[in-house]
Amino acid sequence: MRNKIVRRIAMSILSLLVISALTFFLMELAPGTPVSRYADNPRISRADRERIEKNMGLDRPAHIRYFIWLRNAAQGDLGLSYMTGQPVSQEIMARLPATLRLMGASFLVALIIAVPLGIYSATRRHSIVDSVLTAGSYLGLSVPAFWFGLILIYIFAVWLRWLPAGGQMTPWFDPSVFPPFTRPFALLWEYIRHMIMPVFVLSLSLVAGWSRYIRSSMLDVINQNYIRTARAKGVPERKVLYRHALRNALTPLVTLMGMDLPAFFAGAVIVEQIFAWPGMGRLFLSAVTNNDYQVMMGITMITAILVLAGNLLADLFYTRLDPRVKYEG
Amino acid sequence: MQVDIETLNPILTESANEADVLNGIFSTLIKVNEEMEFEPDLLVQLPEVSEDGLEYRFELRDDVLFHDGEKLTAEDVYFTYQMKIAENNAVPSRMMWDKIKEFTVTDPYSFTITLYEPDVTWLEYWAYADASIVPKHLVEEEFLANGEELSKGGDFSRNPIGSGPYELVEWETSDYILLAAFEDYYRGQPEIGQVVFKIIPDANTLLAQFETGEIDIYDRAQPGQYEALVSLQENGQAIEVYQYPGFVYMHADFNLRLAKFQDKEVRQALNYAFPQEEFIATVLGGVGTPAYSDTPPVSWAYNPDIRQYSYNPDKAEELLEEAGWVRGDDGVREKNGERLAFTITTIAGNPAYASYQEIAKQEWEAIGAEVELESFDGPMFGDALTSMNFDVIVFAWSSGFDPDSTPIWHSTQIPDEYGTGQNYAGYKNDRVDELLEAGLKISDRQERIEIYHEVQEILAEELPSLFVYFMNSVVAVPDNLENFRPNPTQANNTWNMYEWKWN
Repeated sequence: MRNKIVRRIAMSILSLLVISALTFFLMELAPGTPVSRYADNPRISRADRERIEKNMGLDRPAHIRYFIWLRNAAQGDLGLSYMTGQPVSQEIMARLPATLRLMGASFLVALIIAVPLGIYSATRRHSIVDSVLTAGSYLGLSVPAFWFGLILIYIFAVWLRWLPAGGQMTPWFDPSVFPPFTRPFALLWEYIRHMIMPVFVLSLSLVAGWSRYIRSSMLDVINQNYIRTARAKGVPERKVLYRHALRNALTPLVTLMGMDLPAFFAGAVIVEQIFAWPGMGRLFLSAVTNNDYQVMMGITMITAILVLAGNLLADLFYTRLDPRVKYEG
Repeated sequence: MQVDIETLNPILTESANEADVLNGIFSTLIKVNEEMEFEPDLLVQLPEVSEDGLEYRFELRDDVLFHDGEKLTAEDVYFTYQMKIAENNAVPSRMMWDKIKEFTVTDPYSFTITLYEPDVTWLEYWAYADASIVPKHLVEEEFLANGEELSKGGDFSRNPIGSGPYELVEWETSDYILLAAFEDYYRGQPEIGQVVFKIIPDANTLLAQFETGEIDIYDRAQPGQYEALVSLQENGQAIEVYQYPGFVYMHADFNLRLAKFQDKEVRQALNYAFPQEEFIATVLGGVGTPAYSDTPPVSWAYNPDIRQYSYNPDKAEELLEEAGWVRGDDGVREKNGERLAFTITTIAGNPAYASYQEIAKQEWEAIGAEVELESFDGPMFGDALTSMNFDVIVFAWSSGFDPDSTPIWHSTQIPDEYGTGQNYAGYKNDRVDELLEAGLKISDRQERIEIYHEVQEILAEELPSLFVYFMNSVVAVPDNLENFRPNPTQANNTWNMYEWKWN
């Protein structure tokens, strides 16, 4: 087992290397450089653009720049952003917590909602509730996040005034105005209040997919022999469902969650944009529009590491849940 | 604001977003007020200019303190200038600073600047946020420590110390910037204690936050939101909505190197065939001002009597016929074997540009052109423009409030011939060259008016570019905010933050 994990990690490192080379040279092939954004500014002359490019080291050939990047990245240095001049790792670290908080909360909420919904649908197949849930999940899958997000903002922020329209905290929020023992709660509520809408939007598409998945895998399991045996032996229905069936039905979901990660990152970009959430998605978007190669490289690598690690964890977890699955490196 | 702040070191940025915040933290030598007149800021009075227009004498106030309590002196101004021209610094533009021949500090509060040649437009640049005076005692250390180089991401960029009305309290990346009033500001502590700049990327969310009062001032609203803002006001929200034309103009440049665009009749015909006023009324909801040249109505040099091309497709066809462009079998006009076929290139993601393209295609095909459309995202567009690889290209220039436009129209500014300048169209006109050169040497406003009136006349006649409209700025503020005076120049609407107060 340990050997296999080591091999798997080695494979991941190789993948990262391939991803980095592909990303770097694809960006290189795309037209424009980080100084192209100055083109329609009449105050910035051609001489200025050449000077800036030289200062950024962009006058060197691409393959040399790639090896410099690789050497530095191996030592944990992702270079400086062309836009802000800040170290890329700092740029990412400034936003990663916000993104992880948003994604973590959405994953959790999605799980909490999707599992009971899936089970309920499976056990009361073709009931009205099941049909409603089926229709609802199709709706959830097909509603675009930006549209849904704006609708929520208009209802809960503009119309009802219950929730803030964006941001992750009120800039002048000062917990010290509350009595001492309530301060942590006030701070927590301040965070939660800002998270409700973005988390809801982001988890919606997951809930829709996952609940359908749980429903069908529950149905699969319920019809298996061992369940029938358990029922025949007089094990109470509740116990049959939750002790025997659910465990086996949930196992494949772990893999699915791992596979959902990349798409989930993509979805977070839109949600961050709409709810002014100061996360990585927005950093990536502005890096792309401004050809900030270094930041794009940095985020691609961090995302790749997160996704690879997520999948590795999912697989390890899977073998724990279902001993029949043998670990193949 | 919709875009993230990149840096708060004024030396290293020119973008409007940063300027909004920098206007609070820093001071400049002079200011441009909402009437577009110079006012002294750190100066006792506007500089004295020598007879030959080369020497400028400046005198500083002696009561200005930086936020750390140190006095601001001529050494700081000199240092700021040195930072602007230092080779390795990440300064975006050195154009205006390269005109300085000599900078002499005469005593702690006065200095003299000598130019290589007379250039009356030069002074304007001391008025904008990117010419804010930085404290030598703080920035120099960083400059020397990094091998005589200032990075946009350096310590000072994250923790700027200026002499402006507000001090930086907190900068939450991508989220907000919080400023607090500076007690020892030389005009006295501002009345509004705290100012927050929020970064909200989505325009709809911004509007929602404005409606709920999560933000008080909505600056740089998109033209499409003007109506929404006005209806908020009509529905009882206590706000004031301003709309005013500025210096940014959208235009379609011809690549004059191409044979098909060398007849001025072709350019005029295309202008006649474009429904400019209808475009402004429908696509922009009226939030725009028709342009007939590059000089906006708000400019003192504006010439209202130049040639205008009201929508007239018949006239357009007539002009083309006269110039020898006849329709071929497929209805597309030809002359000397050259088809009137071309591509309109623009920046992707701007609805106004896209509509312009669509309408132009439809209208111009009706008079016998064959039109392809092409849009690129920012960097690719920049490449098309700077490599002059386009037929007709649609974008916007933003200019200073001085009417000089040498970098764009002077024939020595054609990049593929002289390696410098932004005359991407490749426009050459001896008279325009002469006028632009003369305009830089004369400081008498009346004489300059005559010069620029003629430049506009020629541009409107020759049409190296189709001038479409001057963008109007839209800003909404609470109606109990006093002294908010929108400023159409690059000084931005935060230019007089120190005077704002609630009533």
